[in-house]
Amino acid sequence: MAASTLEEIREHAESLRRWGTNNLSHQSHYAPYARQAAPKLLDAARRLAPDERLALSELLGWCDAIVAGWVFEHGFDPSELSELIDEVLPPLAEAEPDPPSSFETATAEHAVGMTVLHALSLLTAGFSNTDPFRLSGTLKRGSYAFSDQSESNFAVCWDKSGVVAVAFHKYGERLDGGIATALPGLPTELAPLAARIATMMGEWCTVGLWITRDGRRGRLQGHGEDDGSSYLEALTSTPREALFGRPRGGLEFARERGELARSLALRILSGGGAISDEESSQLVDGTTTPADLRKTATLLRSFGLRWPEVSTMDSRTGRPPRKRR
Amino acid sequence: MPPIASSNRGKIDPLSRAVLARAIDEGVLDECRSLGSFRCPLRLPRALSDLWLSQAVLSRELLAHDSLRTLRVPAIVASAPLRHDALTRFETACIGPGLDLLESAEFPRLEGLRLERIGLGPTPAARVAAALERLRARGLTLGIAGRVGDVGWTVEDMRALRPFAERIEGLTLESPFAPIDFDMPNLRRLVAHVRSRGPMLDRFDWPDLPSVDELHVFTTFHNIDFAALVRTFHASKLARRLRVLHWEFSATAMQGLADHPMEALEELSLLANDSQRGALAANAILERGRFPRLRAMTLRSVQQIAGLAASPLAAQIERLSVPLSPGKWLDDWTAVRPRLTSLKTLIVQRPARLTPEQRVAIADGVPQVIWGENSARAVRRYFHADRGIATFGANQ
Repeated sequence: MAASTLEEIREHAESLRRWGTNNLSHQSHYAPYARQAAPKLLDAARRLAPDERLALSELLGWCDAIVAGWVFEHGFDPSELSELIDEVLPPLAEAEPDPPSSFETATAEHAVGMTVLHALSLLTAGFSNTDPFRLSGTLKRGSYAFSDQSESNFAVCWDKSGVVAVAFHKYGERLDGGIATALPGLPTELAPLAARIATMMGEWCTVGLWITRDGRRGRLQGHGEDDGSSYLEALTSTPREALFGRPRGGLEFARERGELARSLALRILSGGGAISDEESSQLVDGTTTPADLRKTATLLRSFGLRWPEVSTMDSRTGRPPRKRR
Repeated sequence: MPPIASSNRGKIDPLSRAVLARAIDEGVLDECRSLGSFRCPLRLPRALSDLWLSQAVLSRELLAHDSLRTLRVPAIVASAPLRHDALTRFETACIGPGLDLLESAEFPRLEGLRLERIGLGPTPAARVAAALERLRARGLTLGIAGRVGDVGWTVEDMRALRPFAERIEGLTLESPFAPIDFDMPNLRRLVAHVRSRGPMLDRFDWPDLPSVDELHVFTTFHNIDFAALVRTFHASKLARRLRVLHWEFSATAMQGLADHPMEALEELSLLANDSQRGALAANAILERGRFPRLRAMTLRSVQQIAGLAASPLAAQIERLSVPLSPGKWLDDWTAVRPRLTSLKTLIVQRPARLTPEQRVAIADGVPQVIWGENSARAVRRYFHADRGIATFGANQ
């Protein structure tokens, strides 16, 4: 398969993925992406050898159906497209693989970075920093709370001593003795963080973990189902594992958005920097209002990321000014 | 980090196609005859004869699977030409390319054809008739959408089915029911979806419906005059001949179903939704209903067990399907069990949380017990990491 043809097909497939992952009640404004991309993908596929076309036959079937228009009728669900695209067009090898990480090896800084990544993954998906999550502070001292608005919640607090994180499910039970006593071996210097979490979400906890800045750690393990443990596992895993490597619940993360969140999180961990124009356009695409943009820019600045383009954006549309030729 | 959206209790992530393919490669599904999937599997178990896909692109490889006998695909996204020498049953819908594909399909051994959603979009009667003419299936089950505004089949459209009247074994109709002015001598099963499309629905077309042995009625929508619905149902000749009745409802007024005897009725399903109103209506029907030939019954909600305990019908039931879960409902069951003197087969729905001791107590003295397994749990059991096959399903 010629590399350029493959790249072209991959690019159009990403547009299909966008439609597939954002199709709500068949009234998606992403449908035009699919209508434009499908015939282009079919054109590009004509340049493939027969056996290469055969490997893509299911995706090409979807493209035929998009061109014919019937998949926009009631009765068809394109949410499978993302999985299909991953199957037939596997992601390119990662240029810089994440170093392995687990509960046993993760540092407090890593857990904080992963917490920021959770927030960034939501920001790039178009959520604002009020609902369903709230991030505040800096890399040195801060807090994060997330609720899926339905069943699961988790919170993380950190300071110069370390990091404490807890999660609970709505079927969990309120703790009699408080979070600090529920977390086994919690050092006294981290007790204030547990108390801060309690003020944020009450004395609820089905699973939890703590890591000090000098590398001591402990955790409260749950019963393995409906206990919120996957949130905490993500805090000590690698960024890509957390973003793409597990069953993803109800929100499917587009690879490009996940990669953007990852690269911003890694930049924050390595001391911060500026958001490029290209990244900016992706972020703007995911954000809904100018007010959100400004709040997001302020939030990112506190974590060391500068977003120069926001100051020049149209206050009404939230779009960058058009460049005059 | 994903998962960020939800973690519904009992929800399970779908089995990935790669995992299923691996299970097939490892021979785990060598004996598998029947498979249901949201998407088309990458490979099929070699002995598979019955495949049910929610939505699929049908490939040549799939249609070349020798042992396949039944293929059900309600939504075909795209497909290779439909051709299979041994397929005996095919089910699809007139959406997307479904009708186009049927017009050129080659299934020489086809015995049963189910075609749903006729009239929902542009499905000219002549084309449907041409497809039915081409596919010589002996038994036809047709689903015809209700006519809304100018969309849907008219009386004239329905007449296009007259040449196939003898082959029609099942019909699914949506209100307003398309009038049918010809006999279907072999029609056995009728599924009626009664729904309001805005204003209160108080006129029903029961008299226009053909007589059948088996009727399924779905009335879970609002804006329906349920009292009038049941009254007119009893007045129709359809009600007098019925041997099997499945009725799904959630309205108190449905208790009117007990107002008149149904002499021929042998099997009754009272599918009350998990609502107090539905359970009240079902319990009133159980208490007052006169069904002298009734032998089989299905109840859907645990609240209905109390109704069964108070029902004179309890002594005549031979086959009962009932949801049983720990708690108060199990006590209700203990109270009703001695009154089920004719019980031969018990089908227990939702038994997952029952302890072995509770299962033993429930099964005691019943000649045959069938434990209805929750499909998500079954999937988890057969594909969980403990079995060494897959690691999916790590729900939070």
